[in-house]
Amino acid sequence: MSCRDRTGEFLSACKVLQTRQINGAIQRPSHPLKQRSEFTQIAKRIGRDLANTFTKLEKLTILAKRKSLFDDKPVEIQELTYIIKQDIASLNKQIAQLQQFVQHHKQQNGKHLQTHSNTVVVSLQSKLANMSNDFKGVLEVRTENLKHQKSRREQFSQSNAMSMHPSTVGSREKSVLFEDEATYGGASGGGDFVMNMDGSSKHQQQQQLIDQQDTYIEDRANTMQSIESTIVELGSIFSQLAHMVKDQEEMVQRIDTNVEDTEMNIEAAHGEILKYFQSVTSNRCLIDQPPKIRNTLRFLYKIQKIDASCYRFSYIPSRSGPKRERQTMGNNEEDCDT
Amino acid sequence: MNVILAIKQYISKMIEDSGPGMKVLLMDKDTTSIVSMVYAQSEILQKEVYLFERLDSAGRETMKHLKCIAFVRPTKENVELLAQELRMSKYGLYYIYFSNVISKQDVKVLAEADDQEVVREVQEFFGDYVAVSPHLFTLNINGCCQGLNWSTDSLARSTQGLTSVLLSLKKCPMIRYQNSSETARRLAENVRQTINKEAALFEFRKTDVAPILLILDRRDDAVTPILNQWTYQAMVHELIGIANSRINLSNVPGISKELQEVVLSPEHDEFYANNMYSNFGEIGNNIKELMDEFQTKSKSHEKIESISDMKQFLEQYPQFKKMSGTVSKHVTVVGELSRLTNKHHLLEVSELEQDIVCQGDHSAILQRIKTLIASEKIQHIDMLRLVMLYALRYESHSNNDVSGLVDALRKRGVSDRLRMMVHAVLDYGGKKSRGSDLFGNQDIVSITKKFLKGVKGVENVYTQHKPLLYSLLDQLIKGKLKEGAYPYLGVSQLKDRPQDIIVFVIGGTTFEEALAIHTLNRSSPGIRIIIGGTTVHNFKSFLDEVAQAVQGQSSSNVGPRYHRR
Repeated sequence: MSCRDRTGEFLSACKVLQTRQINGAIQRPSHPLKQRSEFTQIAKRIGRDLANTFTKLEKLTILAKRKSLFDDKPVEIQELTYIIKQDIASLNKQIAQLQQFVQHHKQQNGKHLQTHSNTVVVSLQSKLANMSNDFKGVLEVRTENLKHQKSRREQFSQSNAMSMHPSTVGSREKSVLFEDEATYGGASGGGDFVMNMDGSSKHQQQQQLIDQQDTYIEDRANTMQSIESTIVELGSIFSQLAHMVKDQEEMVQRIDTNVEDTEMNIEAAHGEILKYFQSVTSNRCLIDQPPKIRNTLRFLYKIQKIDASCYRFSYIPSRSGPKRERQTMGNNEEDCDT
Repeated sequence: MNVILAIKQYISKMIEDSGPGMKVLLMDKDTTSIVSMVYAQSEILQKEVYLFERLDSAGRETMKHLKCIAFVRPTKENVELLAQELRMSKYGLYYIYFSNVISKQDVKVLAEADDQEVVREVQEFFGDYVAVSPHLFTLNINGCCQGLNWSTDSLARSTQGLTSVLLSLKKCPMIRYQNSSETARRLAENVRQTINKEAALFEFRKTDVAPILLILDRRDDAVTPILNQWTYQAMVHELIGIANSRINLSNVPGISKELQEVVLSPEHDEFYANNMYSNFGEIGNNIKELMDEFQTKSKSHEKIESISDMKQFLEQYPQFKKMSGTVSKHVTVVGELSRLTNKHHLLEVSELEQDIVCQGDHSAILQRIKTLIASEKIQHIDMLRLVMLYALRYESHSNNDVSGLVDALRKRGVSDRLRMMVHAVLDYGGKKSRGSDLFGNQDIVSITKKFLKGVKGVENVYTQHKPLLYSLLDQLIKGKLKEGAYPYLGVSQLKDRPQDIIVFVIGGTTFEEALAIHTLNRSSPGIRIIIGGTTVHNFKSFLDEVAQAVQGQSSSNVGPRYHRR
């Protein structure tokens, strides 16, 4: 008994094809794409943008979570924050447009198509919401970090001021000495002049220090402001989302109760069918009747599938749970589509 | 050297490779028969294969929880269908097995189609033939020749089938072919070509004595498929017809519904395995024994008094049921055989057939044929047998009266189509197309043998005839097969006594020949022979084969002859 394994060859062919596809050498026959509606195309675009924004957000998270005092890149972070903020805003707008589009074409489409597009929209929104949530988290982390850094810097900068500017300290002492000298030794005007000089230089240095600190604080204030405004914007997005969730509430409740009912029924049916299956498998006549087995198997499989999804539903107790589930399911559909 | 075992191993390996879990077996038309010949459905069910589907059937349901084992022939259509299947995958994972060598191009096509990355394995398992019994395989090609030469498809299929037999048995043989036959030479050359092309596949451990592949042509021995048969398997095939070890009994009067189609497989039916080569008389005895045994068993089941009796009964009931199934099946089959034998007076016909082939007295035989044809009782088809045999036997006899006999057939109302077959068979297997001495009249040795046989008398008048194949193989084993008539392809020659012999008959083999191989295998220790053919013939399928083979011939050769009469 000899045989030959061609799997390796098959896999290498697959790999070659894949690389070729990445290089864009092969243009897939795109006729199924043409049939897709405008809706799916928009949805697809939004999905892609979402993914892009997610990657950016990831980058930002990495940057923001860095705790080092010296390797801080405020400019980059700020830029990224800005970009992401804009992205989220535009995505939000796009989704709103998509929703409008769906509303607009309500009459033309069938019921199933309608529900499908609704789920797609909702799933996209939920993704966006997730992302803005993440974004918010990242910003919070960043603020926290900044605070931390500030306190640390304050700690260090005080001691720094002591150690790093001995001249100022020295000069102050000196000036005190000079003063003493002046008071006690009855020094000349030249001494006074010197003292004055010293005083002015001290003042200048202090001024410089204050200036530095000023710009830094201004910087900080700006950052804070931008973060604040971002959070406000996010807040508005969230309120929008809340609104949408509220819209769905009733349906979700219905789904919830329906699912519970179904689960009960299915459990009963499952038991019955298991009984039947056992009796069938022990029956020899089965051998002659493959269609029967086939049907049973199919049925069992369906039951199992429903069963599984039921468990998923019942697993999440909160009201928004099933909704989320619905969204992810819709998302799967979308994935299949694209 | 057991073809059934070889295919079985392939299939169980396939199923094991895909690991545990529910599976579906996806096959095409040919592989369905290949698989069904060696595995019963219940056996495969035990291996977690719950669903059997045809690749070309539309509207299969999507069942992602099943693993799919696809076992198909590497034809173009199958590759296309598979590619479609992969694009819209209905099952979770795919393990693809081709029954023969598949081209790089096709692998690429499949790889291109595997968008969803569901293919786990692509392998070549060389089970590209239908194993009928351990030493008999067929390719199920009906009508392999056209115009007395290969039709292109059949040649390709035969080459594939034959190489897959060699690969599955791990043999890289020396090839001998029948010199008088163009078809045999072409097939031999094609097989050699494939072996050279796929040299890497044919690198097996060298055995001391190289195996031999002997390629023969049915045209050399057109007599064997014409004769009536008297061994169980051959008889069933001749009178009822076996297709992929299934027989159709729906024409039998008063048949019960579950017996309308029964399976006769030596793998799963002990009685059949023991008796498939017994002759009709022995079968009668054996079936009586079987009946007796069954009766005692069923009587012992009648008295159930205690709980322990019941327990015993329940334990034995499945076996009992199986036995009763076997008994009723064989009783029905044998009953039908005996009914047909009596109705058509096959014993008389067969005796005369054997005499035509094995005795020499022309005028007496002609007389007997004429009386039989004149009598009312025998079927047209049996008359045709007699006349065809006569025509083949006395083709060159000075006073032969073929035209007279054909005329007699016409008077008896035998249809034109059948009468034409007499000449067709002369074209197909007549003297000019034969390379060897079919009736043994030229060789001094065989004449003396015949004479001696005549003196001794024969044991059984109905089984006097031994197929030509038997003597050929006998000579081959003894190393006496003539180099001129059956040359080697290539330079190397076998010096020793051969051990493993694979015979392939272009144009189909018969169960009588399978029986001959069976006896040879038994009588000569250390020698293993396997026989195969493009199909396994009975008289009816042989008539079709001949008709098709002669059909495409140039009209100058055949046409006028028909019109003249």
